[in-house]
Amino acid sequence: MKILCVFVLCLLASCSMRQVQTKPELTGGSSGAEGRSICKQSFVQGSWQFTHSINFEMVAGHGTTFVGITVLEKGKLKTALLGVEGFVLFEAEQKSDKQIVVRRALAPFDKPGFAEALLRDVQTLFVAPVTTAMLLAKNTNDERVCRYVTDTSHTLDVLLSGQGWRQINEYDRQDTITRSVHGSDHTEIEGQYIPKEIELKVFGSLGYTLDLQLLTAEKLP
Amino acid sequence: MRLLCAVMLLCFLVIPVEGVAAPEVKSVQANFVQEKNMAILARPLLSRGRFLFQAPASLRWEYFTPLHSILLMDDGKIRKFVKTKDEFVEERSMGLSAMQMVLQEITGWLDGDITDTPTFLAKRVAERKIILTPRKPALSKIISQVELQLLDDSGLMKSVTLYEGEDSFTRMVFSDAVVNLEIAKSSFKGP
Repeated sequence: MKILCVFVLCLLASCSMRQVQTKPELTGGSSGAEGRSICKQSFVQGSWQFTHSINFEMVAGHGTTFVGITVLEKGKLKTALLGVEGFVLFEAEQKSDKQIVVRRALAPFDKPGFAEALLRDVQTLFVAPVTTAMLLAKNTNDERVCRYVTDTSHTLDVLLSGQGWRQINEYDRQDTITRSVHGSDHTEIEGQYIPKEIELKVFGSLGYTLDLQLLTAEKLP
Repeated sequence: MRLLCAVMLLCFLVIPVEGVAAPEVKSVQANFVQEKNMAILARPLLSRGRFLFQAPASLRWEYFTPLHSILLMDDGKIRKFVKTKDEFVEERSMGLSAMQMVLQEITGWLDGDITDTPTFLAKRVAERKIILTPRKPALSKIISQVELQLLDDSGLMKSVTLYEGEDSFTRMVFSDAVVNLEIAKSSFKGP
């Protein structure tokens, strides 16, 4: 139970992190329809149900494993955390109007702010940002980058590979990095490239790392 | 985790059907399919695995898919392993002492007397169906009811359904059950 509490506290602490990287300069940006389409297609399209194993590891080396469920369906984002044997620890839904409905939250997942933090992480992984401020450009390594500026003035840089996104970096208003997501070992399912391994890092003194392994990916009708 | 152990041990019960003597249980092993239903799921989650139980309190509860994990109980020790990147890693965050307490309580049910547990109230609602409800409100928040379905006059379990809320339940259906076949001790020691 202690490690669960630490897990929750760390998720909630992501706003008070020590900064380690700054937002890079991009060149040759385009915000046209073609770029917008390319960027949008780097995320999964349509309705899906994913399950991942989620290994949470602190700097001290303690860790535990959960099963994460993500359902994208008709503009809704649904998520749940289960123990590996299937007990539901947390279950919530973000409706198309962004309202969050928590269906179940056992301690310590019932802490204020946890649902919002978790859904924000899940949204980063699976949903293309909805914003009018978008740019397709290249970084100094000549890699294509989709840069989004969110309604909270944060910046999301989505680095593209030939098979969907491979890296997502989030920067705060001071252009310093707050989170990074790395996707690898993509597999093609129903014509879309899904990363089989995802590493989510939150930076700062209470930083943590989540390792996600894809267990199942089902395209929904 | 205490609850988890309690529910898993339900699967090893051999419950006397009225008028039929229950066999002495030294060991039970069976395959299972676990179906998870939740409001948010478009499709239920299916897990497959196998359990081994050796009296008085040795257990190997293993999921093969979709996530390979093993819960072991042996000589009063409880360990849990999850396969990550082709190797089993032992989970270190469990409340082991609490699990041991529940184990001691529930293993008493193997003689078929499941009415005296301080955790659940038991009611036989049909010849082969028993409903367990938690005694304590705190536990009711986690699990509202457990339904045990017996296979036949042998008293072996056909399925266990765990209700976590109005629209969330987990059903474990057992198959190929074998009673009193010797199980290697190493099965309870590690992956």
